[in-house]
Amino acid sequence: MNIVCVIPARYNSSRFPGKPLEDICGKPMIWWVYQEAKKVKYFKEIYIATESEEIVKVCKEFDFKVILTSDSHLTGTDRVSEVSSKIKADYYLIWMGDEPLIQSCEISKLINQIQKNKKFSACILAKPFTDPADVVNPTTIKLAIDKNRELTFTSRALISFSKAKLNFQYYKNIGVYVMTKETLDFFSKTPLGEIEEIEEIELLRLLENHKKVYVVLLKDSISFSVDTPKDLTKARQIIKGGVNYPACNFSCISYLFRDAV
Amino acid sequence: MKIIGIIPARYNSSRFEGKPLALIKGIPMIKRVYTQGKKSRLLDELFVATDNQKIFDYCLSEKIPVILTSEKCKTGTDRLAEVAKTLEADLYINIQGDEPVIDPKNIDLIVNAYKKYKDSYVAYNLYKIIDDTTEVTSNTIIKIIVNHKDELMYASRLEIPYNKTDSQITHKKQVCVYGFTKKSLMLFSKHKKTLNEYCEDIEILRFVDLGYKVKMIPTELDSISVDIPSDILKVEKFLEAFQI
Repeated sequence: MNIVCVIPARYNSSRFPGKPLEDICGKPMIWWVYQEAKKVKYFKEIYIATESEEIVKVCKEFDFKVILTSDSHLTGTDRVSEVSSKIKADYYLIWMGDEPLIQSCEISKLINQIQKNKKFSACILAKPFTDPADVVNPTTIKLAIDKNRELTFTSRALISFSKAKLNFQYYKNIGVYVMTKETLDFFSKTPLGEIEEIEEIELLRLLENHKKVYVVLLKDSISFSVDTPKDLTKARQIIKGGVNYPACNFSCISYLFRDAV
Repeated sequence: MKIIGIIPARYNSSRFEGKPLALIKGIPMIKRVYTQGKKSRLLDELFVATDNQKIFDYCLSEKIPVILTSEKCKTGTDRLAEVAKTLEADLYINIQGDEPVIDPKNIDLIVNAYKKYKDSYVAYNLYKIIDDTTEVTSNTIIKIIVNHKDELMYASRLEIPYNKTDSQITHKKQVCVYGFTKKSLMLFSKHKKTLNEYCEDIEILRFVDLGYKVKMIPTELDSISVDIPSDILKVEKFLEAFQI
């Protein structure tokens, strides 16, 4: 089984330009992602995909494999799709360049799942929200997951609406996906979905076209995407403190999936 | 092919005691629902299913076919499942007992969809584009999300989809007429409430949560659900406007 890791790193992020090269304890953010990716034994190769000459230069200094992609892609998935036309593989693990705190063991879990479940077009990582302010924020994406751990819907609205249940848990996705080559091809040749366009959530293109997406739930992942300078400070603190990773815990939160009543 | 309509009727709704027998312009709601349902030519039979003696007696006195069901049924769909155990049919249509102005054409839409897709789907249900924007934010109105085949992805009392664009978008609401096969009713009743179903308090989500496909059929025809006593006035106004 041939798996390639692609780390999309966009320099011209509208909210945080130059983000992938921001310094964390003496190294650029993408360095941390690349180092962690190297620990995953399944990868045949690891590539950083970027539209920026600047990032290409930095990658070459570190001897990282890098691919310069077009600047006209509408979505990150389209960027990976371009990579997949140049680098052949069965699966592409997409690891967002602004997720420096994901652990390699979490990635391995994801890869195991898609290899086990061939009917899935994609597998994603998710975890429960822990910060209430984060849940109500429309920049975060909430997931509706069925009993078989398949994704049914994803929204910026506060789903599932809790009319009847106390202490309900909300789920957020983590910036890592694994997709087959067919899925990437399908994604890039399929027009934007109606709901995808309204919500601005790429994954909806797969769901609207009745593709199956499997969710791997992590219990105590410390990861978060670096979207703001404040997030960057937090990431620096964690990494500086010597990352105190919790033991990898994959006992997926089974009690949440018991019958509700 | 045999198609049966069933009107589940509970006497004690949490927000409206004795709802099915509430008078609307002098006629009990349950009779109005029955009269509307009878206008569909595609139904072979139509029954009221209730656990309440008053409703049962009223139906007998009006010569409305009625079946007494157990008090254990947690949802209207469970009541249908109980009926389906003794009454054979290819398709069971759930006609809500609290929708006194249901348009019989909505029943026909479900029947015709079933005739086309048969057992490819476990359940059939309707949706309508929302015209009245106050309904979008109301949590008594259920908004639905469908894929490109009009299969149900999710249903919520929230305003979904969330509009991140600057343009005007449309929302779809659920219209509560359902079609089930015997197999799907048994499937429904053998499972307990699922997580999203329970949180949102939306029965049809049980199928989605269990990984089964529900076909949603577009309709232009609205209905009015009577949830609280003041909804009776809404229905009476509707009847006046259409001179029914």
